[in-house]
Amino acid sequence: MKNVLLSEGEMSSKVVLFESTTQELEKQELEGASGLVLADLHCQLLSIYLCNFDLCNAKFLWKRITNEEKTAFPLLGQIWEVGQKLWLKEHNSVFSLLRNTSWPPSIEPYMTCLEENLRQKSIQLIGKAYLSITSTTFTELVGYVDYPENAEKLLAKLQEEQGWTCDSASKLIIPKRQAAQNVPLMRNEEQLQSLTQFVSFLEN
Amino acid sequence: MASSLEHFVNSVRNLSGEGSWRELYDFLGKSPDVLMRNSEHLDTVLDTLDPQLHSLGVLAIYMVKFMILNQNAAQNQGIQVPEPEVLISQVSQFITVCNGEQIRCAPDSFAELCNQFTQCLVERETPARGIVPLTKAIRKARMNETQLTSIHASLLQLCLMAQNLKPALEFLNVEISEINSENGYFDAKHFLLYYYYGGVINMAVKNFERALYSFEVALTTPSSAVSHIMLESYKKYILVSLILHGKVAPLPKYTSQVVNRLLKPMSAIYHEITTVFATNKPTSLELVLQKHRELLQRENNWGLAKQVQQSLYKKIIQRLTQTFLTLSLSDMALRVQLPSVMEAEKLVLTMIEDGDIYASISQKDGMVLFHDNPDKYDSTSTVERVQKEVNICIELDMQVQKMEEAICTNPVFVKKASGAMEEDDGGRSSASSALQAGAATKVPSFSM
Repeated sequence: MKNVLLSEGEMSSKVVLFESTTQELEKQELEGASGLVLADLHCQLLSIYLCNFDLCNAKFLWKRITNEEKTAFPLLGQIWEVGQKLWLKEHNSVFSLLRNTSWPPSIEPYMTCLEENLRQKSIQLIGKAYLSITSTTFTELVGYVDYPENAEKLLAKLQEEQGWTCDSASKLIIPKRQAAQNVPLMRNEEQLQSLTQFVSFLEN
Repeated sequence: MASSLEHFVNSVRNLSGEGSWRELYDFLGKSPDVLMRNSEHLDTVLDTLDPQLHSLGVLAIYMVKFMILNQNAAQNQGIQVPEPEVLISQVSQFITVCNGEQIRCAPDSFAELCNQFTQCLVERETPARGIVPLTKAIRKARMNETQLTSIHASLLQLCLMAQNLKPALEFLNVEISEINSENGYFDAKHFLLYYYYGGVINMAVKNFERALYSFEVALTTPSSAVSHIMLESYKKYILVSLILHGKVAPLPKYTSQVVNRLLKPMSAIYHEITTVFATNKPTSLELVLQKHRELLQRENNWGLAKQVQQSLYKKIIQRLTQTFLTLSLSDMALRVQLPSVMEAEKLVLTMIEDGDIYASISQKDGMVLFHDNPDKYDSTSTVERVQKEVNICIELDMQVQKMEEAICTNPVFVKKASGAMEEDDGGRSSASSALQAGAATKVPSFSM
């Protein structure tokens, strides 16, 4: 299984992670997998939906899993607990659940991926939404409440790479808004051609 | 007895071999009685036919099997009743392998088979099993991607029951421009159900814009009487409209009069919700919702109503951005009637993330700064967006032209129009009223 981690720049574009795996699993589910295979499939699918923050589909997947299966495979419940906290936007609980649950090897890569994705998403949001932010809130949003040294490392990186500043006396962080992504320019010929099409449409 | 069955098998084989689908279709229309009388031999007959080569013949046999299944015990005396479980597997398999060209020659029978298949799954509470077969059935039955069949509604129903919505999206994200009349089998009910279920599914995946559109189509279907499907669509239309726009957009002018006249009094509490929503007081809205909680729950709209409550908070914050440049978080919590500053900050953060407002939070002094939309609309992405919209308009225009051409060259229309012209001097108006009368009783069918 390939573990795809996104670099910061790619986050805003709609990349669907594990797309082919998802399609394969969805197909298998509809074709009537059962028992152990089905439970394993559900675990993976649920994790993948969460990785993509596709909470609606995760919710309906959880709803259609039978109660017997939920009891027999408590792992499903553990994964969904993460989903619930994501839904409520309780970032801190999400991070601690992700880290403090011992995930089986089949699920762990997804959870690592989710953790990193969520952190990147938080950093982007902080850059967009905060003029100034206390280091406590910052640490909470990036999920490093129990790991202050990691938070500091991350902050140092952001200071260096993205020009954030930090006032150590007041413990206030001043994030810097990320510049809008450069959209590739359209070629002039193409543009002219489409304009020609519009005009010919209007005149006919 | 046996000879009549033999005759059946031979006819199916011969006519299929010749490719005379029309004649075979007519022949099969007369054969259910024979098959019914020989119910114990149906499986033997199935063995002699190839589902791919003799799709129409096999289709007729499964139709009869469902017919027997639906009869009551008294009628079924002496008749071998098929095992539903076996029948479901057989039909699933048949839909997968059958020949599309053949079954398109008997669209009404195929649609009916899919309908019976769906009903059987619904009764047995195993909706998920039908999703894959019906997806394949639609692909085989429709003439092109934007054509609606009665099977669409069945698939959406199964998806909703199975709580597995993803397979349905593929059929909801197309712009329907044609209806397969299925030799008269397609009914207004199928049309309404497709849009009603479509609205519900889009709503469930939080695609509110598309959901609202679906409900609108259901509500603006030309009609002379109001169906229950329309009533339920209307209730959801109101709630989704509040969530999306903060007010209820009036229905378009071309909505049939009965809709406005009859639906409003039948959905009084939803109008009460709209009225109290407009006062911008979350506590009052909460009271009204709690008062009607039982009814909302019974009508399966409670979840939606709770989202309406959430959207009121957002609407109030959006209004604040029009008045203030900066506002303290505690002041905001007070004005929006939120329990705490923390809640206010969380909500503002969510709204910034979703692009509902343009604002920055300053934790230094606990203030929120509201901005104007930073987009100057001078980027290439704006150009791209405009171009996309223009293209959609051009496509729509072409579609309308195509439909107009089809109507103008339709012999029935030409006959009616010219006939009416001769009869009286107000020919034009009576021709169009005849058309309207046709449209009122049945959904206009564009595929002739």
